[in-house]
Formats: sequence, structure tokens, C-alpha cells
Amino acid sequence: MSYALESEALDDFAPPRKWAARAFRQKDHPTRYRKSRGACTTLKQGSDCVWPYSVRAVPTTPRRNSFDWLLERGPGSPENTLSRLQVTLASPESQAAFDVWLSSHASPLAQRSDRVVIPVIEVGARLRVPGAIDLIREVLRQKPSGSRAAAVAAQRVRLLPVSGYASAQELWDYLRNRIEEWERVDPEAAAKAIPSVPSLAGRNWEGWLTTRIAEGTPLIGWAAALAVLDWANRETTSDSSTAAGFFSAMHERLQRDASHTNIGRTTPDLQSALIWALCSTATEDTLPTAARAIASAFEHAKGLQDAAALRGGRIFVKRWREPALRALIAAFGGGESPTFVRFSALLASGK
Amino acid sequence: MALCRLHAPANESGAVRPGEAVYHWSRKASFPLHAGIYAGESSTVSGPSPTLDVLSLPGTKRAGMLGTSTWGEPGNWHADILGLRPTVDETKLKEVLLIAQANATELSGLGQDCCWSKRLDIDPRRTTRDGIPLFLAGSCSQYVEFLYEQAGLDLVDQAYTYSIDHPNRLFPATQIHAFWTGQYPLRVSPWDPRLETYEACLFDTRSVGS
Repeated sequence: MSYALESEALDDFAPPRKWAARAFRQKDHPTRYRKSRGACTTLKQGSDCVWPYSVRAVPTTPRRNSFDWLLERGPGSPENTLSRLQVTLASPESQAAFDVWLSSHASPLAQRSDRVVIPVIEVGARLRVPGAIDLIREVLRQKPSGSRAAAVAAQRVRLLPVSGYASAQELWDYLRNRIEEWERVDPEAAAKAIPSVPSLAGRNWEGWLTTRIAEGTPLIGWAAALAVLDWANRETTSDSSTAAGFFSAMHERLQRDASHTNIGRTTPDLQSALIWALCSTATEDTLPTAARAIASAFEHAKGLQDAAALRGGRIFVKRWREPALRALIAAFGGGESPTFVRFSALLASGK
Repeated sequence: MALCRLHAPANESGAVRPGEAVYHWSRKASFPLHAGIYAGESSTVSGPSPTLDVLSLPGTKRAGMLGTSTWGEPGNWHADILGLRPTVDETKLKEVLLIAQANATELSGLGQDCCWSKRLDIDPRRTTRDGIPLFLAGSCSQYVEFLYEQAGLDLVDQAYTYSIDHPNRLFPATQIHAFWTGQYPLRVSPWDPRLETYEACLFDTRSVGS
């Protein structure tokens, strides 16, 4: 898009003048308001602002730089910037212009501070603005390893329409490198980013994820299982060979770490996530295996495994119907067994 | 009891299971209540304010990126009130924690600090895991309510029970009243201002086990 067209679009939603004198607590935001005659007024310490003020706000930035203006002028926290962006981007026209601006300013924007970049990524992801993918790519490429913006970018990319993105492979490479780095230095950031992997579906993503399921720490394995769960429950996915690969890796890990459960603060419960995801990746051939895993998890109830068996069992029955029920009855040792009666009652009482 | 007051001077005790609601209570008027989900093993606890693992919105005090921390440690929240559902099957209650853990990866790095955000923002068109709507922003009590709803255990009927002055807010004290009376989902109309604050919300007959 040409610069002239972009400029024209941006003209439609220049920030309201009153934003220059928006009310904030002075202790958080030492705000100065420019009076029309050039004098300055500083609010008293700790006072609440009451609108309208006796001062008159004067916008000092050209209208074509509305988004820059918004990010520069806004005092206070990233949360305040997010709120301002959300208000500004209420109309489809403003969102279209924001999309163009993001694409064309991705690289310089990525160099700015986290408190500016994070709300821009967040609002772009919430609105599914494709231009935000360019910004995320640049953030993942440029930001230092400890950057909170990089963590937010890696997490929020899965909310964006990355399918068909021109630089998808490049984006996947940046994301993968970041996650591998976080696995060593910041596992929680890695865990939040891993469910983005199936969305990007870069080269050998299935193998990469399978390795995490098989060999990752409990936290990384848990996040990888959630990523599989997301992938398996998307309407468009019906790749049974990929599902079978995930199923096999998760079942193997489940058996290997059978005694391991970790309810509590240290890490989320790996076993429960494996059972939950296992139910979603079962194929016709693996129905009996999945049913046995459900029955075992429900009967022995370590950590959250029984809840995962119940939750996964709902998907399992909904997807496979009669064959799934037959497999479950066999796995529980008959339809009259007290455990199966309790399981089916809970299944029926679900959402 | 469905509501267990661990704080002094009540110093009550109760059996807590994973997935139960936990509330911090402070007499400071600026931020009196904070809510989370119990993330530890089943146990019997007693007051005053024991140490408990709790999952709440990330970015609040010592909660990490996945929202878990130990309440009762110095500088952290206190476990002052438990909201218990003793008649609900344990597996069903664990589902609340299962969803809470699984949903923690989806919470924004921004906008989860309930000190400022009282607006609930859920995107039902975008789902995660096996169909959980995307929780974009909200207060701590709205998040607890969201998790209970996803497990089919609604606490408050928000379409019916809300303040005229603050129709988008869900007061933690309103949830506490639901536990106090054992009525789920709680339906109160017209609005009673006592549902906005603790301990004013402790009115009507106390439930002994629902």
C-alpha cells in the first residue's frame, strides 16, 4: 500500500484531543499538562484528576502519526496503553489502518521498549490483525533473550492467522530457537510458547513436538501435550498418521512415568495432560489402548488424572460413539462395574 | 461447612480438596479480597491463615507466569477464607484445577491484574484445549467463576445477580455468600449491597454441607 493511502486512512481516527489531558493519579504518572498559552501545571501529589480540567489540552503531533502519537503520549503502564489502543481500534477502518501501520513499521517498532511493544502485540492478537505477525517475527528476531515482549510474542502468535503467511518458515525458525533457549533458562516462558507450535506448523514441527513429549521435563512435556490437545481438537485437523505418532509418544511417556504425579505448585500435572491429549488423538486402531488408559487413570486417581480421564473421556465418546463406549466398558471390566457406573454418571453430568 | 473462615478470630478448620476456591482478605479498603484456586493435595487445614498452594491470575504478587504461588508466605496473599463444595464429587472438583492449569498458558501477559481490570473479556469464538473459550481479561473473581463454569459448577448466576451500579463486576464477596448459603448458582434479585463486602456478605442461613 502506498504511503499516501496509508496516510489518508490514518487521518480518519486521529486521537481525540482530550486524551492529551487524561486523568491519572499523580503518584503513578507524573503528568504535565500544557496550557493553551504555554504554561505548565503539575497535579498535586496523590490527587485524583477530575474531568473536565481547567487546563486545555493541545495535540502537538501530526495526525498521520496517530499510532506513534498514541504510544508516545500515553503515560503510565502497558495496561493503560492497551486500553487506549482498544478504544482507538473499535472500527474496522481503524483496524485496517493499524494492520498496514504494523506491517510497515514492524522492524522499528520491535526495537522499542517492552512497555510499548507488549500492548501492541496483545491488541493485534486479540483483533487478529495480520500485520501483528510481522511485528511478532521482528520481536522474536531482535529482542534480547530476557525480553518479556519476546515471551508475549511467542505466546500470542497462535491467536493470529499465520496459515499462509509469506515468511512462515522464518517465523517458525525464530520461535523454535527462542523456545529452545527458554527451555534452558526460563522454562515457564517455554511452556507458554510451546502451544503455538502447531499453529505455525513449520518444517518438522511434529518431530520437534514429539521429542518434547518423549524427553522433555515434566513442565515441557505438559506444555507439549497441551499443544497436541489444541491441534487435535481443531475442526480442520484429520491427519491420522500424525495423530498416531503423537498417541504413541504420549502413551509411551505415560507408561514410563506411571508413578510420577505432581499436583501442587512446582509444575502442572504432566500425567493428566498426557491422558487428556491421548483421548483426543486416539484412532480406530488405538481405541482399546486409549480406553484402558482412561480406565486406569480414573480408577487410580493420582493427582488430576481422574479429572483428565473424565474430561478426555467426553471427547473420546463424542468422537467415536459406540465403539468408544464398547472399548470403555471392556476396559472398566464390564458395564455393571461400580467404577464404570460412577464414570458414566460423571460423564453424563458434564457440560 | 461450605465456607471456612480460616482468619482470626474465627480460626475455623476444614477439609480442602484440589479445585476449591481460596480467598485472601484484608481490612484495607482499597483491595480487600483476592481469589484463587487451591492447587495442593486434599488435606485438613485450620486457621489462622495456613500456607496453601494457590493458582490465581498471573502477575499478581508472587504468582509466576503460570499463576501459582504459595499463599501465606511472607509478602504473598493469605489463605483467609475457603469456599468448599463438599457434596461435589472429588473428580468433578479436580476438573476446576485441571482447567485452571491448562488455561494458564493462554492468559495474557497483560491485563490480568484485577486491581485495575474489572471488565470481563472472554472470546467464545476462539477456544483452546478441548473447547475452553479464550479468557482475555477480567478480575480474579471473574476468573474463578470462569473456571467453575467450565467445569459445570457455576457459583453465581451473573445474568441475574448483579449490582445496578456496577453491572460488569463480580464481587468476591458475592461468591463468598454463595458458599455461605450453599446456593449454586446464586440468584439474588434485587441486588443487596451487602454482597459487595466481606463480612457483610455473611447473612442468611449458613449452609452446613452443600
